[in-house]
Amino acid sequence: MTNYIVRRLLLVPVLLFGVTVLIFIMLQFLSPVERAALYIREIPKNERAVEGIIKQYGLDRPLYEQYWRWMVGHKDPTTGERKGGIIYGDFGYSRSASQPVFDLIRTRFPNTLDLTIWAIAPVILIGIWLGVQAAVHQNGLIDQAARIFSIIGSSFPTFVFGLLVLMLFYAKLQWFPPGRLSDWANQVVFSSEFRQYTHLLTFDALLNGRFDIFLDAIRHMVMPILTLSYISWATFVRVTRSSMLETLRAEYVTTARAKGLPERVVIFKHAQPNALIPVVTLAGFQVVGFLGGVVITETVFNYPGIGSAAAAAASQLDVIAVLGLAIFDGFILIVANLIVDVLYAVIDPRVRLS
Amino acid sequence: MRKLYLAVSLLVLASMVLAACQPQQPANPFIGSGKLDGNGIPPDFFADVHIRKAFSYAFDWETFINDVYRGEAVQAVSLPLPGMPGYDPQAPHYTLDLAKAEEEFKLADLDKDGIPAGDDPEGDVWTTGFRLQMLYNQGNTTRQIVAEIMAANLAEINEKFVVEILGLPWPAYLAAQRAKQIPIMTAGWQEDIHDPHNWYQPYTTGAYGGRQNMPDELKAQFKELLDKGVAEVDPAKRHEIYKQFNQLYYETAPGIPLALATSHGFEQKWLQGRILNPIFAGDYYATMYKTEGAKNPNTIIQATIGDMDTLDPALAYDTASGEVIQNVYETLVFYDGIATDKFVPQLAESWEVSDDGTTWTFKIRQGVKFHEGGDLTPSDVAYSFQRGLLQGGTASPQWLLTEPILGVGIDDVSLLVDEEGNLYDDREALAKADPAKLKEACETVKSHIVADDAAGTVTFKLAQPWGPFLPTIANSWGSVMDQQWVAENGGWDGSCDTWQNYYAMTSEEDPFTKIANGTGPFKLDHWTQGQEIVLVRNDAYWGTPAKPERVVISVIPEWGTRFAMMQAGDADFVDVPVENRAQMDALVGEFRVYDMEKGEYGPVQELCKYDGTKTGLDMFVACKEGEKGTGGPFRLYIGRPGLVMDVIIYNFAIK
Amino acid sequence: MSAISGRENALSASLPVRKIGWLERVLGPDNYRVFADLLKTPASILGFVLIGLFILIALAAPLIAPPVGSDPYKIPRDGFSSEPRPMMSEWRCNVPPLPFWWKPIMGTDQWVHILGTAQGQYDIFYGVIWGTRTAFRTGFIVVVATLILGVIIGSVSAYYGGTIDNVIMRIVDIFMTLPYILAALILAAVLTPKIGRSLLPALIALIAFGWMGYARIIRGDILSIKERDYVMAARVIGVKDSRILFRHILPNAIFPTLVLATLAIGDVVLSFAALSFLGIGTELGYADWGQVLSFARNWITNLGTYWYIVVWPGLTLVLFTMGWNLVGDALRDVLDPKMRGRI
Repeated sequence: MTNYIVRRLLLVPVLLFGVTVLIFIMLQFLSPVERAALYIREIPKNERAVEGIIKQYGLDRPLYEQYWRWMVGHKDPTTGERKGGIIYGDFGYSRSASQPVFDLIRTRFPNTLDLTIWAIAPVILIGIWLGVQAAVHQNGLIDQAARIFSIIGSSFPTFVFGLLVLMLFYAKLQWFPPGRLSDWANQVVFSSEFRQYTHLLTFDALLNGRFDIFLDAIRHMVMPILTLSYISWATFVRVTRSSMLETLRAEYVTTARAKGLPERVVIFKHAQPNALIPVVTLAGFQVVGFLGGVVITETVFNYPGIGSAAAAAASQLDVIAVLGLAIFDGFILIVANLIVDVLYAVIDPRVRLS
Repeated sequence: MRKLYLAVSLLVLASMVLAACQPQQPANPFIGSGKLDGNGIPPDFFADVHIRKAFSYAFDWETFINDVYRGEAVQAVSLPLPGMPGYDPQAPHYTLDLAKAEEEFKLADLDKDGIPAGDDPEGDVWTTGFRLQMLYNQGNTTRQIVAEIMAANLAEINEKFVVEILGLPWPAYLAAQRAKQIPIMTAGWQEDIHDPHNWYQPYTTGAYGGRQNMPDELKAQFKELLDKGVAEVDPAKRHEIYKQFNQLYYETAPGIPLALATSHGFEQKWLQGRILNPIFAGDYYATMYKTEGAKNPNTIIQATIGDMDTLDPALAYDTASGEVIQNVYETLVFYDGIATDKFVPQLAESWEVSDDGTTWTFKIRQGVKFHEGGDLTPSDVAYSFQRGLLQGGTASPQWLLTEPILGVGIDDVSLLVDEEGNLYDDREALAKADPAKLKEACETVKSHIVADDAAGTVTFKLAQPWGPFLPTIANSWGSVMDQQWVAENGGWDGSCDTWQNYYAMTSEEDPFTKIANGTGPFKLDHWTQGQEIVLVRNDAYWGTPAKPERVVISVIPEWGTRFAMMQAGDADFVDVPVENRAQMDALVGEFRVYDMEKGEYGPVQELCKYDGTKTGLDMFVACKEGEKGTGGPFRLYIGRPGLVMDVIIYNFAIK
Repeated sequence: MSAISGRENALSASLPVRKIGWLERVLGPDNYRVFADLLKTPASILGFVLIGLFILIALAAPLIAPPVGSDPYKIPRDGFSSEPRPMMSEWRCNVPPLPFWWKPIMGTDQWVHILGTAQGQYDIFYGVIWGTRTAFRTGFIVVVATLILGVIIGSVSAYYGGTIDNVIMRIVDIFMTLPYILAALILAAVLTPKIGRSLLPALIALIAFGWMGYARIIRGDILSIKERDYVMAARVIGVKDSRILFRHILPNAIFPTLVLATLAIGDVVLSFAALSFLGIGTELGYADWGQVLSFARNWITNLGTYWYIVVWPGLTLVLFTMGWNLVGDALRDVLDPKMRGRI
């Protein structure tokens, strides 16, 4: 097992390198002028402004030179000091977000993490519970309802659902607002009296003893979590249900029943743990997906997470930001995937890691 | 493992090879075949004045104004705005006339055989037809509609005239425009200074006109009138000169001026004291306050589309940055309320101009303190302007100051070091230039702006008389910074030995992008990039303290969310794109109409009926005596001509 | 002794014989069984009905909503004003030719916006009808292309094994490490300046980042089949590698992949709609469901009045995807019951 983990971890820099090369190859299609378009919002009033930008940002240098500079940095001609270089930890400056990429990640990722943590319970637990109920009462009302729900859910576009939720819960009922925090809460968070221990606003609010801010943060997360849940439940219900059904048909379950064990024990002690194995993998992948940033949900609800940052950077062709975010995202995904695989192996002894 | 690394290095090699073979430049895709064969247009299509006139007759202003602006715009008959010299509602202009357009097409001679198209037996544009693509940048629905109107009308004149409409994403649009490949496009200008020069110049020899590849004689004709107009100080004389300009523009038709939209601004009914001056970058917050029952009574909250770029007044050129700078920093003079052509003293108590119009002397106010504690001195004023000019850069608004101060034609300080213009935006190369020349350039700049601390004045020596000098320095790039504070925080110390190290900085290199220390009624509390900007009241302000305690500018690119915030009362006013006005209109409770004669907005009227099917002011019916209004939560300001105008421009020599 | 003839004989008299229909004779007994099983559950019948309906609509689009102008995929606009108009409002300018079925049903010559107009006066009915064609086009092109690409890469990787397999799988990993939407956004944004028009950049983006799943599955299946006896036997005999691959391995390995592919059509159309919603998919005014939905983005809070902008394209999108999902589910249940619960 250790061998496997070590081998997978050794691959990480290779994969990340490959990802950046892939992105650079894609960007090869853009001419310097098109890349300069990131830095201006409309046709510049001065004819020379575009050339100036190309010169200032070195956009016309050959691609491998630009890649090298991005990797190891360059010397500032006037002061002589070394600037930049991702191997030194300098992710560069994002034009579209008006801040260094590292700061962008540092401020946005905790929000995504916060959302993921609070989404796990509703999405996974309720999803699994629904699936189990549907399997246990097969062909009953719950089962039919769950199956219809699952079919519709997997056919529903996220953004339409999100927009409908926004309209109902924000504009009409005014229960849950979009965004991250209300203005009054923001004021407190940015003042000196609020210490950011973990940068996860909900936990920080609790650690600071501010239950009202905690509630406000949760309130703002309700709509995104609802949207994410709806789409995920569809898959969870379906997979849990079929897995549970299959397990319930297995011989050892029949044996358990024959032994005279009460039905509850049969289901929850013998069938469910085994049925949940494929579901665990699915749950793992869902969490990984959330961590990577759910672009559409975050965009619709104006939630400042990694997903909306990536979407904004990509649509404006902000090369530096895209590269930095891709590396970060890629790293998270690889590590999270590894954890899921290992967990899977731990849970199911039949699985052999190859 | 070795094989793995081999594979990866092959990958890198492959990408390098790919990078080395640059993609070939494709032939211009927007002119079809590139020939006059019915399937394209020749590169000099628009060089023929009859073609240009024909296109001018083919535009339907009425549909454009009614459908896009819902009747709230007026056709632009000349380039300047109402109230300026040169503005003449009786000026010669084109209207929709398909018959005259047909005539002009028949007079054109594109195959250059001397016979007009209508009589040409070999077939000219009238019989062969043409095909071209009219571009707009994706997301700009107004420009798309302009293109569609043109296409539809041209097809009506002759079904062989095919105009395809293509929306390009912004990078592609910019690249096509730079490569001079776009045959015809709509260009929008937002004025920097409220003066006719700032309208005539861009569309003839400046930003847009300069890129139209106009023949030199035409450019020279325009330039002559332009130079005469800006040097003249007397408004009446300027009006005469600009009337000649209007005539020339009409006869040669290098572009089609579209429409001037009138204002249509919304705010919550509880908000008072807002000054709606279209020349402001955004809003001026010091005078705003809220009445009883308002949400967040001491904070003004605005939701905007985009974040600001930089807080350095010498570099900022976008509206979002300009708005914050306008509230945190101050200039020598400022606009008088909602007037765009009257000025009141701000950091300057008084000023006088010499008889020949080239020397302006400002008496600087005493006892003003910067937010960080420094005192305002005339040296700070002179330093701020010198710093701006020496920082230069083509992305900055400094060209507006270099032209009057250093001379027309000089749009960047690097021209003082290298007249050929090789050093534009190139700090590295500039630093390597001859040190004597560098020092000389700096001394030249300093000689034009002289501070006299003892007398408390600053004197500007302009290179030529400049009528619109006050409007030029009343905007964000005329802000005053604290020299000591700038030097302490990594900026130029004022010495002529080091100025070249600060030339043409990008906003991320600039140490003053994120910090601000001005004299204004607000201080910068914090800027969470991409999220919000928060200002707090400066209690040590020299003038009347600001009314609100806090100002929050939220960056919300999504219209749906901004609208929801307005409805919930979480924002006091928001950016409303033209196409979404109808949604807000339905919630208006009271409105004020701009009175052109008085030059101000009329009294508040309660809205009794909103009829979306009508156009213009007819949509809003005020309540008469005793009637009860709709009770909607918003107030609407309507009717003031704005400061943005689109003009369709042609490319005379398409590449 | 009774006469034994072709039709009636003692055997057939004593044993019940099933009647074989003509369809079964044509398809062969195995395939016929698949077919019959597919239509057993109400869910799968619903799926087939939905898809059949959409195919009909797509084929008959020019008859149901006649186009205007040279490009039928440009939604006709009734003027340019921004306020959407309600359902059944009259068509004022730029009127397309009247469809043949209008007069007999409604009795008037006046063509209306059956489903109303969106912002900019784009006819929603037209967008929904012609959007079906776009959905089929994009769905099929992307799925077929990703399938072929994935199968080729997966087979090559699995069959040759060793270093090649290693390298290719690393490349697959690299592609999978990039988040899907982000990658598609970048590629579409990069390609649009070069290619310009309509569908192509988004299609290429979806294809470039959609093949990895198939490659992995096909590789897994081939690897497991490779070890089977009949393949080893073939190799021992001396059958050529490619022949083994195409005649023996692929046909057996392809089923799970095909099932995934059917399920994927719905997902591809949803992804395409998402890209359009984010502003990258198709041009403004193109007949595509995601494009029509993106008009609704600005009017969400007025959904009481303008509900039709979201409901009709949204409903069609949901039904289309649902149809394919139901068919895919049924297919999976029939072809490979072991897969139930795994995907």
